Amino acid sequence: MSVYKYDEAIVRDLRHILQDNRIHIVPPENVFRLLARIDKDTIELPAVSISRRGWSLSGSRPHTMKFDGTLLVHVKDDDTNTDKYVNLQAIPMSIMYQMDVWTKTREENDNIMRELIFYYSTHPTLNVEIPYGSKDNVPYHHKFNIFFMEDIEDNSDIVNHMNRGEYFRQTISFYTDDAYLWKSTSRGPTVIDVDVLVKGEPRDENN
Amino acid sequence: MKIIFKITSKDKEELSIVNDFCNMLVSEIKSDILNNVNYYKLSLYEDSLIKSSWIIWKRTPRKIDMKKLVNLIVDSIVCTNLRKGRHMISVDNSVILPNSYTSIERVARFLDRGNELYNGTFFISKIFMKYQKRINDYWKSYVSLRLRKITVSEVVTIV
Repeated sequence: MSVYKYDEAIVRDLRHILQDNRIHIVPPENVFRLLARIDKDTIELPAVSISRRGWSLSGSRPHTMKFDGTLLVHVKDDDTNTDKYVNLQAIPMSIMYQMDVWTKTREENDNIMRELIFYYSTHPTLNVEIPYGSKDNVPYHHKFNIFFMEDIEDNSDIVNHMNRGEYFRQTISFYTDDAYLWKSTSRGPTVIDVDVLVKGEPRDENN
Repeated sequence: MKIIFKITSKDKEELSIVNDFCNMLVSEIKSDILNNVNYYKLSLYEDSLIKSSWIIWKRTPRKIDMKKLVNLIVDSIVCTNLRKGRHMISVDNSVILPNSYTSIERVARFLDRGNELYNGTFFISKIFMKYQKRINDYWKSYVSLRLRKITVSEVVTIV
């Protein structure tokens, strides 16, 4: 239930909208290596790569779920006749990403970038699944938003393979600032052991 | 790797301090980058800069002092007044890397974003992003302080 869940959610969403399974969270220097490995040494463009640039705790934004958390679910196991309460704790954080679009032509690159910007400007909300180990294993769903930075860089001029075949690369940064670091804890019901002493009766020596 | 912002205020007094605000922001960004830069990590890029095909060297150097290079990049960060009251903070594109015909901005972009062979270090974009997200707060605090609307103790909170 750490940061990688958000990576997975973004990759899943991108695979869904681009209908391409080759999207991975991978730094730019590994893109071609990974593509070659997937496609048996043939590198097919266009490709989209995402790398996580870091994440930071939003210390200035305290959250009530930080300490005790909130009661998520009460699970009753009929077989063992036991109760379990699952609490979910959360610490707010923001995650920064870099997205690179690699293509063979500039026109194609501009078009893919335009489509991605339009799509995420109008559909910024993504869904992350937080498993918490319940009996039926239904994950808790949390919605988060991604925001694109305004600056889109053309990094086609710093490629090392320039003379061995041209390709184009544009880079955009995006971030989510409503992500959380999750932790689930489960406990049994709070039980009070009551020892009743009736006035006038002798105390039971066994207790 | 740029921050573009527009001050929408119509107040003449506030508009008169916009340039000072830009200068303050640039100097804050510069010191923030220098305080957070990892010179060891950047020194790993020295060979790739010397051998890269996209830097046109006048005479290929044997060694690059990465500390001097970072200082040069940081010194090249400027605030430019654009049209319609917009301002842009970026690495100046007209500054050339010494002993070469390549702009320092391109080198900064390579060190920051990486390419298909080298990972980026994000040493500039990380700081730019931080300032871009908080620029409204910085402006409000700066206006309040400069125009004496509130005191320092109200702006700075010690936790």
